[in-house]
Amino acid sequence: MNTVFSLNGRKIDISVDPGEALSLVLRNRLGIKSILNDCRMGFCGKCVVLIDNVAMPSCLVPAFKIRNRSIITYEGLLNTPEHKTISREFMKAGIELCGFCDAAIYMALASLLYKIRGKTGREDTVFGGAFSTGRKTHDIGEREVMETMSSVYCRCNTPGLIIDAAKNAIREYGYSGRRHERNP
Amino acid sequence: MMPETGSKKYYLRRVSDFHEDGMNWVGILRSPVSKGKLLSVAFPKTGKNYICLESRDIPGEKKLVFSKSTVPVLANGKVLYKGEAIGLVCGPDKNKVRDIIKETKVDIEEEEAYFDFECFDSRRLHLESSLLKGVPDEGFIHAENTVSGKYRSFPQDHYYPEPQGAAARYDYDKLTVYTSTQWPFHVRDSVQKVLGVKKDDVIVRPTLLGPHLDGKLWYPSLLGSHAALAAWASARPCLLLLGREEDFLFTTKRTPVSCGVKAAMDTDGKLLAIDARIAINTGAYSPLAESIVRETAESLVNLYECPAIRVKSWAIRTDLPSMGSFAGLGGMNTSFARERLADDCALASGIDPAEWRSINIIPTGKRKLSIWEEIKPVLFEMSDYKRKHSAYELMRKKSESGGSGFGIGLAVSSQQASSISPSQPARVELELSKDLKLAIRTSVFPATIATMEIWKSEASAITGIDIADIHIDAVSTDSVPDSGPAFSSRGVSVMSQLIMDACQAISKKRFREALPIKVSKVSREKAQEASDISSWAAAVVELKLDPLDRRPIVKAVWLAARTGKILSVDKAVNSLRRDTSLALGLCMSEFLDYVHGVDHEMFMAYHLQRLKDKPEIFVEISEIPEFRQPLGIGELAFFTVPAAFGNAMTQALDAPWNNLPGTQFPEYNIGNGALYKQ
Repeated sequence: MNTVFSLNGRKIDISVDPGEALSLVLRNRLGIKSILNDCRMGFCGKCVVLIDNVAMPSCLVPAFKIRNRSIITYEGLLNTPEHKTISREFMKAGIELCGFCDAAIYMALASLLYKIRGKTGREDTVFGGAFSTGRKTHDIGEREVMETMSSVYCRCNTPGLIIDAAKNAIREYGYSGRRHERNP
Repeated sequence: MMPETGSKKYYLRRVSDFHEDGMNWVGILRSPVSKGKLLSVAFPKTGKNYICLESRDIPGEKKLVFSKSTVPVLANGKVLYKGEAIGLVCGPDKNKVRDIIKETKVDIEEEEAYFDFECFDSRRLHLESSLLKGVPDEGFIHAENTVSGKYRSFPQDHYYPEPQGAAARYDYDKLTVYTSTQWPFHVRDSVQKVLGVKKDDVIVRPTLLGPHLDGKLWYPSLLGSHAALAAWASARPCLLLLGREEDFLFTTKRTPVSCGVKAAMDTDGKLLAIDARIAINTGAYSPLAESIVRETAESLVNLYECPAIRVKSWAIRTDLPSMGSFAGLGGMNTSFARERLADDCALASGIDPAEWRSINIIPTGKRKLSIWEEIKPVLFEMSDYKRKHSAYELMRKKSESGGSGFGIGLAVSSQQASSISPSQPARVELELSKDLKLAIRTSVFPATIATMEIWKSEASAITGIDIADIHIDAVSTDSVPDSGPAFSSRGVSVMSQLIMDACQAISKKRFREALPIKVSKVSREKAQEASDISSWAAAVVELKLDPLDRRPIVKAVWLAARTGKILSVDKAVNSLRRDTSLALGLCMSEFLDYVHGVDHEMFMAYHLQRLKDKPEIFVEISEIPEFRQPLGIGELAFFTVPAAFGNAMTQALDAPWNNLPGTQFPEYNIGNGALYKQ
């Protein structure tokens, strides 16, 4: 079946099989190298994309379901203010990612920054809907940062560093990360 | 990708990024049973672009040869583990390759398979080794206290950031192999022998390694050979990329070890004798068995002074995928056993565990005091160990069955330079060009950007050349010297020193000889006294048990380390923090047991610890002034944190916690998804 969607601002019109996962379409047919088809079960987080600015593991999304939606991959995040903020904070913290999970980590954090900008236009849907507090869109708490940054499965991450850098990026981007969650 | 012309070379960042027009996908036909006689393989009718290969189609050697063992490239006549490669299928459509593999009929006469390694007979014995010092039996006769325990460590998966794979393509008369490997020249030599061609006909260009935990030492040679065979047979570029589950189930794991130890002590808690039996499960093939057996035995007895030692080790063949190195060559397994035993000895002697270690630890080199005595005050101040340990010990004594639920554990270890093949020299080549640019060439490419920056800054400091003008050449076996495997922190401990020596030589020659100047340095690994030149660390883990389900909740981990020359304190601290968090995850999750062989459920039940579950980690590191060269620190956290965790769990449960990984239920052992009674 034919599916039309926007990929990093570019209109894509492609024929997909009913059972074809979005991650496979993006990597194998559209050449999006930042997507890694690793576990294909939604737990490794290495295929995360922003669908209408909400982070989702693309291996769990059937490609036909994205008709008329907007997809942003790491390639689309490059050169945006969100990417610059994250890069700066990661560099300050001395974070060195392994070259496999970089895109996923950036996308996970970018999903929080997008939320701050209110781009999602939704109530608080945290990273694939795994955790919902019913708070307002801009209210990003410590637990949400932890959950989001924990969604990527990789042995290269240094826990304290990456969480602190994520909080700093959020603070830098326009939110006081010092405020704690009200109703965890 | 285009054919290479002139000096332009093509490198690949990740194996999965390999893409060429007209390329073939390679799939592996695997054995459906754990052991049996391979009678026949009947591939279905395939289209003309599809090729099926068996062992008899290999043009060169059919086995990868290691010092005391061999690994078949494709099974020939018999299969020794479920998932062993029997054949290869390659073709342009990945799905069709998968269908051909599914439709292939494999006739195997199944035989009884063995997964257990603690009970074995001589037919399954691969290697045997013994270590004897003094007369242990006399020590036990004169002992005031004897302690015994059985300490087990189970297999664990390296869980690479990308499943393993290899790609191969011909460029005129040369075959280039791309794979993520710690040992590019081993891949080259293996592929060259399998294809029966000259060494120069094969070029290996490693892709990104990522956190590999020493699991990419020899297995990429096998995958590289498979990809190369497919490229040779089909005369097309070929990509072999394992799926996550395939990688998890059929590639190497950490060697499971069962270590039964008995220790004799005098009235002061001083060790009189150690008697140990170590059984090591090496799986079906065991290329690294010799080194693992040696390291495992040495790690058990190299830290504490004991006049009489008897260690018997056996490497046992089982019908499971090959087991191998995991953050070292088995030192992690017996460091856990040694440090758990140390705490058991302290408890039996009625001495504080830190004090027991001070009494028994081997002094370092010619010093009167061991490095442990220097680390101790720093670590105890950071963690408040003394006070907390006394308080928790009191709670333990007062508690009824089940323990107090609070524990704090201590462990100490050293990391020596270990070697897979001691004769393998490390080489580095530096060239100062006419335009004053310095090129560093070695096949041990820095695993991290941090190491790369350290090399460049050291080279810049010695030669006075701007960092921007220093370049580390990408690894390609046709243009860099063979520096052996990137293993046991060799990048830092051996290569850094070689680069510094080469830079000194360049500086001396710079204004005396005409440019370009080329300098080569070679270093052979020497047998060293165990504790003479090594990094040291001690860790403290504090935890409490959840009152509801008694799951351990780690409050914090403290790690203090002493090493040689530190090239960057921040980077060393970050590296130790990452390793500590990783080592802790190995204690509390990542359960895997081959009690019923290999199955899909094992994969589904295996979980890595997530960032949100990590406790606070505090690290302190400083230099040992006498050691002027940089030393490796990559294994320190793995040697100390699991044992410290085990000691803390033992105190919290008031029962021995002797399995790595283990559960909060001391009466249970770890099973495959389900628990079974010990």
